Amino acid sequence: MMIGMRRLTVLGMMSLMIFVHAGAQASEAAREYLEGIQLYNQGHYEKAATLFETVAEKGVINGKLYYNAGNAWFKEGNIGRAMLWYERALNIMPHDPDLRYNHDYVTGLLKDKSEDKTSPVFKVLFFWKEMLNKNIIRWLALGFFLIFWVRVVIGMLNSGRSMKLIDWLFLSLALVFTFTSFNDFYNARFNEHAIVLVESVSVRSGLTEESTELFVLHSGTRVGVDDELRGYVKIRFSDDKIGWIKREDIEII
Amino acid sequence: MLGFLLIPASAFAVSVKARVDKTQMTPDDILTLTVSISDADAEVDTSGIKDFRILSHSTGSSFQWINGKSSHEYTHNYSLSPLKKGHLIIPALTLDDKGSSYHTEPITILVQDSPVSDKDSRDIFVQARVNDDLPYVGQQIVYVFSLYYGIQITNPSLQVPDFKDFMVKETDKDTNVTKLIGGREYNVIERRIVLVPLKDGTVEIPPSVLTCDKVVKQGTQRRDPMDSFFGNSFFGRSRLERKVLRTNPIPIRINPLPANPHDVEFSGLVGQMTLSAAMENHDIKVGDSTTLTLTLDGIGNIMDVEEPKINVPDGLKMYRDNPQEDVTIGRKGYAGKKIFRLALVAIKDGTFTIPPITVNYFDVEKGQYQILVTPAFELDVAPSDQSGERQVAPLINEEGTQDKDRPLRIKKKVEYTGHDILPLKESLDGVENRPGMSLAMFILLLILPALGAGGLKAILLYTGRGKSQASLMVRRAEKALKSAGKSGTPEDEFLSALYRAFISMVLSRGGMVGETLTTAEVRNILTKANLKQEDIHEAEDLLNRIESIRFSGGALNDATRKELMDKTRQTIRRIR
Repeated sequence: MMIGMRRLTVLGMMSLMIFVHAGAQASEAAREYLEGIQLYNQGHYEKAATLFETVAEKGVINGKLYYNAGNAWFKEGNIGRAMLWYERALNIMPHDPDLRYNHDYVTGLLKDKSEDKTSPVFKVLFFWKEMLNKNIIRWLALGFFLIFWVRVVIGMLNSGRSMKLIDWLFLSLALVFTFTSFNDFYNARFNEHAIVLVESVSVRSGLTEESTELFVLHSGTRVGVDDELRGYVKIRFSDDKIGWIKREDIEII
Repeated sequence: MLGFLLIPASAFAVSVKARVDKTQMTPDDILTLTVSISDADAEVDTSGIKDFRILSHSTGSSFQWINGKSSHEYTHNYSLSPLKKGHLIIPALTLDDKGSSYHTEPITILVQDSPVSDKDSRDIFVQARVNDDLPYVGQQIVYVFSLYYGIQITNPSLQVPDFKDFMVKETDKDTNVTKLIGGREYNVIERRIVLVPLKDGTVEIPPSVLTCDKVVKQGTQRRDPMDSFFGNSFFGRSRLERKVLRTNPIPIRINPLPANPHDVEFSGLVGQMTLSAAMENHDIKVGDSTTLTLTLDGIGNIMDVEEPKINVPDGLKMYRDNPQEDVTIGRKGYAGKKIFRLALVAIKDGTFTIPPITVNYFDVEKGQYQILVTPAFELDVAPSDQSGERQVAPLINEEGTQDKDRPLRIKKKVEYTGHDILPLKESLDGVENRPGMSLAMFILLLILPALGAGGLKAILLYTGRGKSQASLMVRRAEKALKSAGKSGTPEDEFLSALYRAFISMVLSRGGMVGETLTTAEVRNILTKANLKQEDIHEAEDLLNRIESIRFSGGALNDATRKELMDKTRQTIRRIR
């Protein structure tokens, strides 16, 4: 009985320590975040950006934090890192008007013109992908499936009535949003993108500095990442341009 | 060398041209000469070809309908074998059509033993040029990159230089034309880039680099007519050969703009311009407006020009409309016009003179500053119809004209006057961790309701409530029918079982449970279940018959019993 009591006390203390540690980490992140805002407002943009990045490195995933990091890097004059953090923020809050404005503004300052190859037909057919953010699409999928299953259960309890048109409608909506969500998960996992961080970089035909320079990209340009080998990354730009670039010249979004 | 000659205007616009597939060859090669004749079908006189032997001759024709006009093209193809080495000549070939003679241009072919060393460069080559290599600062010049190819290529990718000493604007579309060079036909793709020098001095535009894949046919050359079909890449008998082509660097000397010798301030315009001006009305009343329109037209940086200075006399008020730009980027760079519309509103009566408006620009052709001047405009303002001086609050719409029915006021499209990013998001929730839903959580939440529904179904099945009322009734009908079919069943039990089987099956169609039904209820249920009318009649008859025997107490012989049993089975099968 006494041993049991002691075990409970040790477990309780450990839980308390974990809780206190987590709380201290959270308050540390909050302090750094507030300090970053203060430094930004005082015009110390690089220090502010570094603090925002430090908070993000602690595992905080938040669109506003990423947006602030983008702002600070832009004010510091680093368009590459600004675009990197704006792109990361767009993955979380793609419809935030401030973010979209700033992202468009910085995009207008980039040297490389990227061509949007998304078919207009695709945009019309899958209009909800443009209108809704990824989390909303996931919750819609779950919501429609929940409604569908609730109706199925009611049907079971109600003398096994057959499915009606409205049930098929809910099922169809649930399937559409579920497939869209899985497509988003797939793209996030297998269609990686990166941002060029250096002022100007040669994209070459091979994995050496002596390889033929195929084209040149500039800071802030968004590229697709196809492969990584011996310190080089195979990138894709505007669908039709492919080449190899040093790993340290880009950062994955 | 021009490989064809267009004959001057005739009623049918006949044209003749000759082209060859190569201009250098070995004595063993075969040369293909093609003579194309538009809108005339005449024999080609080939007697002048002395340096080659004509191996074969074929003809073809095509018909085109373009913009409502039809045209025929007749082609004569000759396979020629050289008779000697050296610079051989295909002379001007003559055609006679309806009394007129037409000629092609002569073509020179080099025949030598060794294969041509720079074959690739003749098959495909690139060029770059500028339309002016001595521009002034601010003068637009056009950089033209040209890709010439006489063979099949694929995957072209162009890397143009950085143009770091220029402001750069690419034209919207590449042009694609066909050109005859030395008698050989090339496809030519041209990209034009407008460059505006930003500072004086000598600069060099680095080479443009084009990478592409050249389609090389595999195997030996066959002269089989099917070769061109089966030898193509579709059937896998071709390979791709990577080519990297560079243009020559282009040196450019950029001249500074000379000092402005005039009193009129330089407008910043560099190019070739004209200025025109017009006034809508020369006679108005106090309170009314007239529109003064200034139009700058020409080639150059028109879009950058500010509104010229206009001295408006006292008694008139000037309101500006947004300038209208109609500037496009074409083969010579930026060209078009910029229109300034000014609404002049009379606030006093009298005669007013708007003095000439001047624009000082730098003319790149003449290499000097030029002053453009408009005429002076007279404006007679009569007193207003209304007594007293009216408070003028003019309204000018987008077109610069006055809306008579409403008080006058200017409306302008709101535009950004400054550019910067929006500020930080300072709320504390920016530090909250919001990772979004993970794939595992999403799948879990998707599965949970389905598992719940499945579990409920299992419980219902286990407790016996899972079966629907309809299926329960069907089972009861089957059981009753089986019971009735047993031999030796007493008469009242037999009838009771038949009744129960029939009623249960009818109830199953209605998704209900119960023990008894009237004839009207049976009709109602089966009608809703969309049974045929004849089947419903039969069901009603059967029910009446069973009830009648049941309640009348009449005896049942074996035949009647069997017939009733069969009838019930048959009816139940139809109802089911």
